[in-house]
Amino acid sequence: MRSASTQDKEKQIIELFVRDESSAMDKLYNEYADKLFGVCRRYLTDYDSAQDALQDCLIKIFTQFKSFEYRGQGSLWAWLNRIAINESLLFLRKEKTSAFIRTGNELPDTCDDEPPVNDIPIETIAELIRNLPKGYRTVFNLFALDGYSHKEIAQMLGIKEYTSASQYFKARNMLARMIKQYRQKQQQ
Amino acid sequence: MKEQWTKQLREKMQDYCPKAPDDMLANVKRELKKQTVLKRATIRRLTVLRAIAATLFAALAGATIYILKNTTPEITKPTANVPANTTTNHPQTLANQPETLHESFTKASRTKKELFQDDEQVIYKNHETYCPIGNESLQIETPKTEIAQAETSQIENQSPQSPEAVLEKHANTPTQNKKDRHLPVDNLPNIKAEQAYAPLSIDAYFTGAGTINQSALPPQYYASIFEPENELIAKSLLKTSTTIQHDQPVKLGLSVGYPISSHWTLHAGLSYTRLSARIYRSTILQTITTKQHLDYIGLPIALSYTLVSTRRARVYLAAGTELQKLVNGKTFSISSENDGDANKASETTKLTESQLQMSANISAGLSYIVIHPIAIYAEPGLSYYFNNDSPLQNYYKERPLNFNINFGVRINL
Repeated sequence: MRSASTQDKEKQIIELFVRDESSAMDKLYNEYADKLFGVCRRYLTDYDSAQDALQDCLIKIFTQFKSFEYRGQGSLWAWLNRIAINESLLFLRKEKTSAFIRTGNELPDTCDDEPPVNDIPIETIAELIRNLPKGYRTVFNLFALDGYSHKEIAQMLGIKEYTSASQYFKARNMLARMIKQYRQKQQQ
Repeated sequence: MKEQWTKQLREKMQDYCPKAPDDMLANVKRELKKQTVLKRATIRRLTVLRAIAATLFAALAGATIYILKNTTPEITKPTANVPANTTTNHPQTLANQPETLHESFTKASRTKKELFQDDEQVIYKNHETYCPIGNESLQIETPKTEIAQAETSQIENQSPQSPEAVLEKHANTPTQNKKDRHLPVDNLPNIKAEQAYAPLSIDAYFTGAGTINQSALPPQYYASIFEPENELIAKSLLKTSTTIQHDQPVKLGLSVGYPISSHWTLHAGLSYTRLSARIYRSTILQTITTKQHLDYIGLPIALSYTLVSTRRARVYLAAGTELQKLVNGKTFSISSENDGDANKASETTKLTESQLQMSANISAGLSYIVIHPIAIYAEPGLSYYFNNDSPLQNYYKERPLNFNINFGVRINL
């Protein structure tokens, strides 16, 4: 039922764009703007940058909608999500923070167990992900949350596959430690 | 276990929907409206530029055709080949002279007559009717080899002689190279060399243009050089910090000049241009250095107008157009990762361009005959390269209007 509802919504929006209706943009915005903003916020630490990325993303969606081909349920969101990711990656270049945090030997390199995350608020997890170094954060978002393979990530970022895997491994460990520290603080 | 944890995170973050800014939609609509207006203005500007280029090309072609049709050379090359031992003095024997000399004399009955020699390229103009053979005297002089001397000759002051005396004198004159002869007529007005007639020529030239410059790469550049299925790669590289350094274009060419009148010459030929650039690009995790080479083959066509000409030197103006096609393009990239990893990767990519590159050129030229028939020349000028909407970034896009100097060797045939 839920999936049928989603599919109906997608088809409705597509029809509005096909008929060039003035309400098409409003409909799409109301349905997906917050989700798209969430994608931008995951990649970009700076709020204003995320805002600009969202604006560019929406402009690109509205101007290129005619090139979109509907391929079944979820294909519209997949297309929108890809555009949002691309725009976020562009803005990542403008961020002045360095790609990596040089932690030296302060923290152990591995984390044996991953702390549970179900009871942690979404916004908190998003904030912790934003606190990761840029390179770690990018690869973690692409692999763990957006479902790209290391091969695809390597092609997107112009790096080697093993570099992507290495970055993800370090990112996951760092995130796990941060969640653990958060939980410890909450328990105190 | 670890995959389970990642999966939990993914499912949780799917519901992450922070509130978008309230005025976002209004801003987007306003921006879209601006882009539509800008796009229309750009299309209008491109249309006007293309119309101007087409008009210029048509005008040039039309002028060329008109000149070719309506201009008839009025130069009669003296091919006099009077034997050194001729003793017959009767005027009528002139008719028995070698045909070329006879023809030259018969042509003297025309209203205008121009004679010239190969080396000196001296042209005499007579606006009065020549006297028929036998009625007035003819005088054959030893030719002067210097044009300066020819310019000051005062033929009208020479005393008339009978044709027989003239022929006898000629018979006793040492045999001259027929190229050195000229045949002034007695009643000609002051004569001076007005202009040199440019012969058919072959040019080989080299062009130097512009300087190395550095600029930021336009956002859409890298999007165009990747395969469509690598859309994500292209888009992830857009607006990255990228600089491009263009090397000085290298151009070599060969052209043939065909004189269509005493002043005008039509040039057509073939050219080769190499455009090189270095692109420095930093992505999120690495730095990439790319060398780009583009090879163009061009068909230039031009018209030149001789302003001033002396025995050895010639000053002229030229205007023309050129169509170029990319025949070979490639980039070679070396990447190194920002985390200090010494490993480097290299990649070669082939570039193609379906569009033709059109340019318009004007120049002023100076040529100097070093040793006949070889001349050297220099042509400083301006070139404008029209935007062909090609995705490739090259020197022409960076500097559509640029100053250049052609240096070359010309062989006059």
